[in-house]
Amino acid sequence: MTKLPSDQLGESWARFLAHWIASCFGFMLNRLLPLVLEWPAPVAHAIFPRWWMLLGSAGLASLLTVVFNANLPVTARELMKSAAMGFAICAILQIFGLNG
Amino acid sequence: MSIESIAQATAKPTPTEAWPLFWRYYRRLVDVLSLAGLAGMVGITLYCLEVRAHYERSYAAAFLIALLGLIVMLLAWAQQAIAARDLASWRDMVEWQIRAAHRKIAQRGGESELHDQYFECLIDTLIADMHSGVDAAPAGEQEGR
Repeated sequence: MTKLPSDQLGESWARFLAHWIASCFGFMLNRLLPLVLEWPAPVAHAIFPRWWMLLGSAGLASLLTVVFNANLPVTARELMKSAAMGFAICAILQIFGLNG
Repeated sequence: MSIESIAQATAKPTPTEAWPLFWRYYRRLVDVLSLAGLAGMVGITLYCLEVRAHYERSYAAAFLIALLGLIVMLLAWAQQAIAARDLASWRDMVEWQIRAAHRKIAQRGGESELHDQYFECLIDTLIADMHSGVDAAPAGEQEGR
């Protein structure tokens, strides 16, 4: 009784969805950053995936994030970690050239 | 049943107020910073999708799906916050009742009378139930309501 249940660890669907979507946003941010880093014109040789490829790979890769983060509470602080993990997974995939 | 267990259970759990002012402000600052960072990441992603949609028309679908995802994320967030608030107010109510019963017992007589009273047994059961409920089903089952 020292803590609110919302501060305690444990999986629920709301947590799963929130962290999954936050991780997807982080993943997509990493893929699309060349668009704003080179504003107004994107780099000529930058290759962007098809939109369904982007969303699908983000969703699949974010499942890995959710495996670890779905028991965290839904706060800005924890969602930041999920988004950062999605970003990092995308960076790792790009290093190994697995991003299509 | 002992009066200590009741007093222990009815003690107000206020862990945040025990912290010094500096740490409370620090925590709030970190919360605000991470909220700004999260909003920045989501906003930049949506903006990138929108920019990309100017080059490749079909990215408008991705933009729409990302908007929907943002709405779902905010709904899940709100569900968690509302469930926590409901549970907190429910708990406050129960604790207030327990404290009132405790005061009444103290006014009425000593420890010897305690064993004969049905209502206090009920209260003790309630306390044990609250304890076991919090320990056994931490988040998922209680917030699912």
